[in-house]
Amino acid sequence: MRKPGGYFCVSEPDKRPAENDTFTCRHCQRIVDVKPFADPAEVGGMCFGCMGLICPMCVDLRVCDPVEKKIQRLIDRHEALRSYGLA
Amino acid sequence: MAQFSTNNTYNAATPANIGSSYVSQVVLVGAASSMGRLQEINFGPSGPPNATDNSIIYDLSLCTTAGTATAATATKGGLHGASACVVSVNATVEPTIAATGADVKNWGMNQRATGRWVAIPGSEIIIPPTAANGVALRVKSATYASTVAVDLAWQE
Repeated sequence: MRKPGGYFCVSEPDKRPAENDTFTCRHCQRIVDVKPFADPAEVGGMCFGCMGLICPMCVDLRVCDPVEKKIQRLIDRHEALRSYGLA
Repeated sequence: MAQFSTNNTYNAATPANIGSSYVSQVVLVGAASSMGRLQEINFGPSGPPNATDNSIIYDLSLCTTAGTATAATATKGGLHGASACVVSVNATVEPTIAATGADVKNWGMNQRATGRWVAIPGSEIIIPPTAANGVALRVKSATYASTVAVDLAWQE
């Protein structure tokens, strides 16, 4: 994977730092570890709806539901509740 | 875009010793006026290691309430205004974590290990611009009985 999207490093006494690339699922925001030279299909997949990397669990759902849409739904719900005087 | 950070020892706050149940060290929730983007997390033990080797579990989860915790003010980088996101540290009442699908990442590490996660621009974890929705970094350990240090950095 050429452009993973994140980096994680663990430092421990008497050991070399353990590093790996990560990416953040475009649909659910999970952080997914990426093994060196891993094929994207092995660590999740590419959503051709939003053109983002997604985690294996979101691959299984077979629906393009990016986090931006989820947040918009959350805002809409909040606005509706507020208009009813419930929030 | 403004840069902010905070940690669980902000303003001389005293983190409680961790135990076998999750305790949120830093809770970062949104505000209607601004959308946060969590881009860096640093965490590790801040107390003496236990004589018996053991693990600490650091868990980053999405939350739908802020719980009850000590209010903290985000440290800002540069000349930007104050953060619109609501930050609290060392929860006494845990934020609400959805039963499924809320777990962003779970790191199990040795008690002497420290971790650092950084997102590249565009891959940050988004804090929704609605009240009380955001992320909580929780910690637990079956054996380690001291404190941990947790630092979050985000943009708005």
